[in-house]
Amino acid sequence: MKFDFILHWLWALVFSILALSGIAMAGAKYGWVMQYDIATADIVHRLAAVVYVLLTVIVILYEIIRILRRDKTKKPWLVFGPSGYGLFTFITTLIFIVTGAVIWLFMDSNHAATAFTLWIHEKLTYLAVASVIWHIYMKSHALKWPKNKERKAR
Amino acid sequence: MWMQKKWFKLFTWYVTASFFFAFGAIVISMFRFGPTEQETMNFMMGMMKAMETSLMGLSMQVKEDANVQRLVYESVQFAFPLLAISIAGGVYVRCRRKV
Repeated sequence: MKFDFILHWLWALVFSILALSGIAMAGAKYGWVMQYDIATADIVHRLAAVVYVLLTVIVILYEIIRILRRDKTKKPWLVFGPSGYGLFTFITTLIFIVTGAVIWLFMDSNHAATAFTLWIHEKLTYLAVASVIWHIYMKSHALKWPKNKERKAR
Repeated sequence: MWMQKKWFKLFTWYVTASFFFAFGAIVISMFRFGPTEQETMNFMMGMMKAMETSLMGLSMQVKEDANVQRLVYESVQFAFPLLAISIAGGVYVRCRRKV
């Protein structure tokens, strides 16, 4: 199995967990997503965030190694890229990580910074989830169920 | 190929469905009425519980620890030189690459 393929689907899984647990904490209107269990949502969100940052570091290191080796082979499953959806993912990921780190570290010491980064983090989530829906629509052929060759032969 | 395996198709359907659920939850929550008083109470109670039992509360306690504060201070001292080195490294790699 290809490395970029594994990274892509790990990324998708972690991002989906982050989106659902994050939405549950976005406000009273959204709390129903996890039955107002903010404690669980918080733990899940923080643990998934650590995995998300690790995956980001791995993808960036992988890209750096590819650049240093002058490897120009196409990696269609790679999460980051120099243009298109890969570039969008790269930029949004960096903003998510920076704003998330500020929220995590300064929640009780710098309320102005926390409020501002929370606003960015939340609005960016809506944009990123909408973009994922668009991405799924563009790649919907991946969801087609494999045809049963034996049945087809009959 | 992995993409053609049934268990993998199930996995992709699961991940896709979770994203549609997330998107649906956002749209429904954003445009519906409310929050009602009961929902606000539930959310506040959830937040209070989180302060006691989750990492949110734990991190607040840990941050008051003098050793952790010293560690954060020393990490910040390292951060800027490392950032400068990584930017310089990136520029070096970018300049050497013949595209």
